Amino acid sequence: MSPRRTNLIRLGSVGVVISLWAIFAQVLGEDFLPGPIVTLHVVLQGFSQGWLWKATLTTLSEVVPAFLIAALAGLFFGAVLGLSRVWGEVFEPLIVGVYAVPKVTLYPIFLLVFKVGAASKIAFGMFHGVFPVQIIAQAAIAHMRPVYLKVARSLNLTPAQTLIHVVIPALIPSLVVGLRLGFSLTFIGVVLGEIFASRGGLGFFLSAADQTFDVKRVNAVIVILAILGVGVNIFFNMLERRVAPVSGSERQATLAG
Amino acid sequence: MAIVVIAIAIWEALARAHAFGPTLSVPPTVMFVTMLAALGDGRLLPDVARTTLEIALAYAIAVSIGLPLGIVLWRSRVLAAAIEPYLLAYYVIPLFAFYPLFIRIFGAGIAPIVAIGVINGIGAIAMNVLVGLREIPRVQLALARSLMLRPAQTLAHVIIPATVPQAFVGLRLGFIYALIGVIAAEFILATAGVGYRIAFSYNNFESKIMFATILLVLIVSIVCNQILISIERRLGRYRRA
Repeated sequence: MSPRRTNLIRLGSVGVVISLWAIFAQVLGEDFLPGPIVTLHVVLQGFSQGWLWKATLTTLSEVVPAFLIAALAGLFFGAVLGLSRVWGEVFEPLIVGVYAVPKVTLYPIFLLVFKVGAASKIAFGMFHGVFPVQIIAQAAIAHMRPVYLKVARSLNLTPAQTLIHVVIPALIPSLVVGLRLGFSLTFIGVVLGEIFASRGGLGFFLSAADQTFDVKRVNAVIVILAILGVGVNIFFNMLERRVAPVSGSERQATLAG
Repeated sequence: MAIVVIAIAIWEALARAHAFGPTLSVPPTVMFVTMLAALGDGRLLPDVARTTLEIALAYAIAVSIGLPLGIVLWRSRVLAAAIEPYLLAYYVIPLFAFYPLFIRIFGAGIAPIVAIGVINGIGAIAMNVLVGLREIPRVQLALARSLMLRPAQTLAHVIIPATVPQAFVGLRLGFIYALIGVIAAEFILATAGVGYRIAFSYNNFESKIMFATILLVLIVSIVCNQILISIERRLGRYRRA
């Protein structure tokens, strides 16, 4: 199938989803499920009144530091565990274990340690998002093709040159995948934290609107969450295409938290 | 293993010395004993039973939609082009944010929680079935044609053996994600279940039972994952043999 045709079908599918939403809203009644037009109106109103801006900025001010820490910590531990076979094997069962656990059940511990404020959301978001970065960085380093390093040696590159010209370029495609998954999970972790206990942010406004049966606001917050999640994902996908092709199954890796 | 034991021992010592303040200083041994006691006297059983039911329902529905969906997407390239991006990308949206919608559509009770478990699990199942089907070597399908196998024979002798290992990856991840979705949904919106019990005991400062329930969830999900991984390893070996 031509890429053009694929893109047309994808565009069409977005139209189908929005139409279905509109139809359901009509059938169930706008008071029960506000449709796309009403929701768009509430979103624009929310931005002009300011509460939606404030909520979005609060959430971003927690997601961004959480993601930066998760990315750095994930790369660091991925590098350490990827370079050392022994430590990699020692920690593997632990990491696989944490991965299978509903991490949100640990959130009360973060609340007890960091109290109900931005710090507990940042810490929990970071904990939620660090694993894909670490797992993918470790795998990429452990499975880097030995021939790259042999070429570097036979060209008499210094360690610094090897790092800059061989190791980092070889790892970047996988790392971008890890960062994409890491961002998604960090974002989800922060929003979960806000829904459960917080005084601001999109998750807080979502649960507050839900408790007052303000369905229009609920939909408006969901739309902003979807746009943020999908937007950042598209950005990372474009980055992935630029830095080089990664194998299909690795790109398609999905991680839930 | 040794690292885990040492970490737990250090934690135990610090907790016994009340190094983390009154609510956090629950030694791991006390958590474990509280967990066994709560299971033994039946305090946790209603929650465990409800969560088990929800996970079982969510997983059964996710499999019975995800498997056929993977097959349909393999057969139809138009549908695959339309639906695949959603299957790959819906994880980036905090699905739990849809809970107010699900409560409105499905009512209170277990249905909205099962629904979150289902959508959390379905993508991994459908995508891995699809990847498995796509990776059947063409030469095997060509061989089936040249041997004039009937469709049922092709399915039984070529397609299923070639797809099972990858499809099982999807079945394992689908289970783990359904479990995560159900417990997380209970945590934020339910009025029963182990996720709810953790949230409730946090809100009521009952840190002993909270830590005991967290420990139970950790142990059960890690054990389930390990069992599924060992089956997966066996299937992997089976393919290579």
